[in-house]
Amino acid sequence: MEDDLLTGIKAGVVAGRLGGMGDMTRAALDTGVPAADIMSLGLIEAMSIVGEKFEKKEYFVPEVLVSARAMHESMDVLRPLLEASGVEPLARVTMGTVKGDLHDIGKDIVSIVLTGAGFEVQSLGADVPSEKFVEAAAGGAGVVGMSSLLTTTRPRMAEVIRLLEERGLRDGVKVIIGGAAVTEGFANEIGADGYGADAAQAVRLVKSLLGIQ
Amino acid sequence: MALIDIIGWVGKRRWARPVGVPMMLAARRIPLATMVRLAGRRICIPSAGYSAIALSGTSVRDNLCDGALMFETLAGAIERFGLEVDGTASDLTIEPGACGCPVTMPDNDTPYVSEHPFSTLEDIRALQVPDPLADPRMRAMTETVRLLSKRFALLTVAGGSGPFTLAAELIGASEAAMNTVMEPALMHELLEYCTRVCSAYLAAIVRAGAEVILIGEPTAAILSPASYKEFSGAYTKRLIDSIPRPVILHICGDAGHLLEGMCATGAQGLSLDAPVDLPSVAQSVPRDVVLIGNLDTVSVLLEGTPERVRESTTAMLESMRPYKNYVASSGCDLSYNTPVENIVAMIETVRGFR
Repeated sequence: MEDDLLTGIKAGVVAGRLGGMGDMTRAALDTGVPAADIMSLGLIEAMSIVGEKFEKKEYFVPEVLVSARAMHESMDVLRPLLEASGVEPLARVTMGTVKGDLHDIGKDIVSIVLTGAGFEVQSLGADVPSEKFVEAAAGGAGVVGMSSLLTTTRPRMAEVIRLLEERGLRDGVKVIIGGAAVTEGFANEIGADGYGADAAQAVRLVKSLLGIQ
Repeated sequence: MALIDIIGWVGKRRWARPVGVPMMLAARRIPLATMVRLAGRRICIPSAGYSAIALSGTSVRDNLCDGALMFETLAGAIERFGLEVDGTASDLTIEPGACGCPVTMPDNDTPYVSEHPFSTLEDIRALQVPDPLADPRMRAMTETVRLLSKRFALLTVAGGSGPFTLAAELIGASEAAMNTVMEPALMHELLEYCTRVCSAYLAAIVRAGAEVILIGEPTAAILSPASYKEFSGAYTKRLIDSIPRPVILHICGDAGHLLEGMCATGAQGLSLDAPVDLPSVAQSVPRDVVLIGNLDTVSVLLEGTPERVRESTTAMLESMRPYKNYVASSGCDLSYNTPVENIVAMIETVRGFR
């Protein structure tokens, strides 16, 4: 019964079934499945399957976004319980698109795939002032991820790194960048810790930077 | 001297218009692929509208709002680079702006839609198709095209958004993506509207004198092949059927998976970005469809040296040597900051390649 509910939650997220995920999650909690298990065996496993399907081009952006929304329906029920129990994620990653740039989708996909890999992802959205990234680092994010799709906005990335250095926060945080406007060469030039060309690369990058297998 | 050089030479001279204009009128009866085959050498379309603005010393915003100024800017670039095909700087915020989206226009950067105010079926049903003669920025762009075709007897390329890209601006890209799965009926109603908007605007561009229409459908790159056909390709085909000029369809990023659907739209040219491996897709594209691309706009043209640009351009031209249905170009619009010597290096390498 418990297994059925967990399998149902996982399948619901993979298939992007909206509207009933909250009830399913509450039902699982009622039968005694711990919130942490629903999170790791249901949602994270589901998002990891979604990430694989995306990499294999079985899923495209729309399907991934709908799965993520289904996951959030369940997460909304779990979050207060997880916070109360103090379960720690692998690491906290802060993601955003830099100031002046409104492209959302690329970094959202990376956030979703990172969530599937077990990271807690805080999304700052798009058009994010440099100061916000610095605040996130000060607040304990282990990784700051920045996206830029316009070559005219990419100098903001260098600005964030400079601000992190000025505040003495640079050593405590890994900075990764991505998006159509940047390259590996640009990442090296501005002193970022890494560049990911797509979501799968971003996950491998974060894991290797944090020394996670 | 190749035929395209003669056309370029005649097309730029005012006194040669009595020859140039009939030549362009005759060209209208020739499919794009035939024109490319007859050119005598590779044609180069640098997509350097924003670089032209940087060169002119005037601001991006002023150019996009003032048709006469944009014409002066582009005319300067045509002379400076010796272009044989002239094109406007692409601006995919014109249609969403005319439909009622707020648009932010930085002084020297691509403008962007800052809010996507429509979401429900009621919102969509209340939308009116903007009149290209009444909307100020649609009028500015059509004025640029009119002045270009009055001054130059060249293949003037101009255009606008594809239906899905416009839809994504009206309701937000993530919403548009999710609605293809969750609310397909709403998407279809929205896309019907967007197709009417694009069609009315592009008709005005054609009336102003554009010889080739460029439809930019970047947001469709996020769709699966099946969704592309349903939510972009089918509408793009209807749009293309309504345009009495050859159409080039551009999708940014990795659009390799959409190629079959793009070919089915009736576009005579497919403009593809750097992530697509052109030689490998060239085999599956019909010979009467022209492939256009795809020098990397960031790692090569923005960050590279002229030497690097020459090497990459030569490698690209060599790899496409077996295909006659090919036009050399950058993968996407060049960034405003692209060094001029890199643009020159690309154009000269293409021109000298035999």
